[in-house]
Amino acid sequence: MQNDKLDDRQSASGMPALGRRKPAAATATARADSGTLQRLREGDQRAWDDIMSEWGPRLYTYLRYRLPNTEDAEDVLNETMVAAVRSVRTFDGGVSLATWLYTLAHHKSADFWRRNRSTVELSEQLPAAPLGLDLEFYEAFGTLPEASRHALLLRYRDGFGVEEVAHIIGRTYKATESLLSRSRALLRAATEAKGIPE
Amino acid sequence: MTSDFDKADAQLRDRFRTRLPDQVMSAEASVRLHATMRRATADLKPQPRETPAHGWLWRWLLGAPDGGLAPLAIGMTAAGLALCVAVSWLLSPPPGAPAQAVALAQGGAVVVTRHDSGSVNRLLDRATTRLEAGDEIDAQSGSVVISYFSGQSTTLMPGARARLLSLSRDDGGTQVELRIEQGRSVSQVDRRLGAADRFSISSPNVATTVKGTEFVLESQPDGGTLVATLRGVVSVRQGDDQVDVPAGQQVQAVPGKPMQVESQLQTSWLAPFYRWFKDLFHIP
Repeated sequence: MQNDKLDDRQSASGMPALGRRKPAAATATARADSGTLQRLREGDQRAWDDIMSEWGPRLYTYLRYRLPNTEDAEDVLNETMVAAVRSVRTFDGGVSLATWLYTLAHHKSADFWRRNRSTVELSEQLPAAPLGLDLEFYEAFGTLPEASRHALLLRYRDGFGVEEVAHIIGRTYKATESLLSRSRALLRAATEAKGIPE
Repeated sequence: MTSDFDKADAQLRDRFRTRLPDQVMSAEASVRLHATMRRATADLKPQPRETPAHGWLWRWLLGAPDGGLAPLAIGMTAAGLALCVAVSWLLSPPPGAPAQAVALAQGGAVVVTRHDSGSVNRLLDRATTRLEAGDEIDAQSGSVVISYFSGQSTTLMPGARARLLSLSRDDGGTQVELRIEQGRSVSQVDRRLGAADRFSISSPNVATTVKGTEFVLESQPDGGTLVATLRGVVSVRQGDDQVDVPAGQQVQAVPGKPMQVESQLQTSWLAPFYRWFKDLFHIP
């Protein structure tokens, strides 16, 4: 029953609101802090600065691993944060701020690929390599389908719980569990094929 | 007790974190992002509180023993609404008028910097793009014609730079504010504007308001501004000083000095420029 266990292994390095055992119909566990949310809705500059400081770098890293180059990642981060400002009054606080922001970033990066239809096939390939990474691992990772890469990044690089990943990518909890399970197997096979040690 | 699966999962997290490390945004991009956010969050005004319903009024209208004044109130409300709709329809701009401003590049490259995203849009000759409040327009090697809605436009000459401060339809009118940061512009307002309409072109030191005219506004490198009226009357304000500049007259506004209206010299640069302007807009 590996899938059942996934829910209990959520507390990853400072990410808020990680999962518990949940039924198949996933709802993200944590709610946004109502005080912070109210300050954001009122345009409190300090509250927005805090959000930027805390989540801006993480969102940038997430986008950088999804988009072709630094400029595109910066542009889409801009669009994501502006979308956050514009939609904060309609955000009901039903999920954590992190889940909400990553969901916006997910949609904005999808918009990016739709806008760049002439190069849309690149979305099935790995973007140009970011800095300081293990290139062999990155290449093995790049052989995975886009959906698998995305789910693994959110789950293992960004530390989200399964139900939060499900919320961000717009799938059901069960479908996300299956996707993660398949993705882990694919990654294991890809790294073994390249002779990369565990 | 940690299971093998938990251990494998933790290893996978470590693997991702060490082999796909954090990426760092450039300082320039970070500054740009913060500037974008400052502008975006400035639009988040506190929402007005709901005013409490006037219970006594409703009781008086609807709760009187003889059935109240409900039919009369409903009839009056319906008539009032019909009147409002009719007046709004009469005062609305002509059909087909663009809801947003549109920029048309002419003769060279024009750069538009988006207010909401900070993205930069480069327009080549004959290319158009929609503009929204806050956007910056930089006429580099070409000129750019900005059409706000029916009958109003501003042409930025090569080298001019401007920011569209506001663009809205409120209170039954249309409001446009454009700030010329540098260089020369020609504005044209063909229709007579109503009380709720506002068309304002400003520079760093002066603000102009017009009600149906054509005029040139040049924001000069020394901080001064030249306003020359081609048709109609332009009201120019610099601090507390305000003058009206009629057709054929001009004013050189220098910060800290009173403004004086004077005749446009036929031998000045304005004469050929006006001829160009008339040709551009097919003015007889």
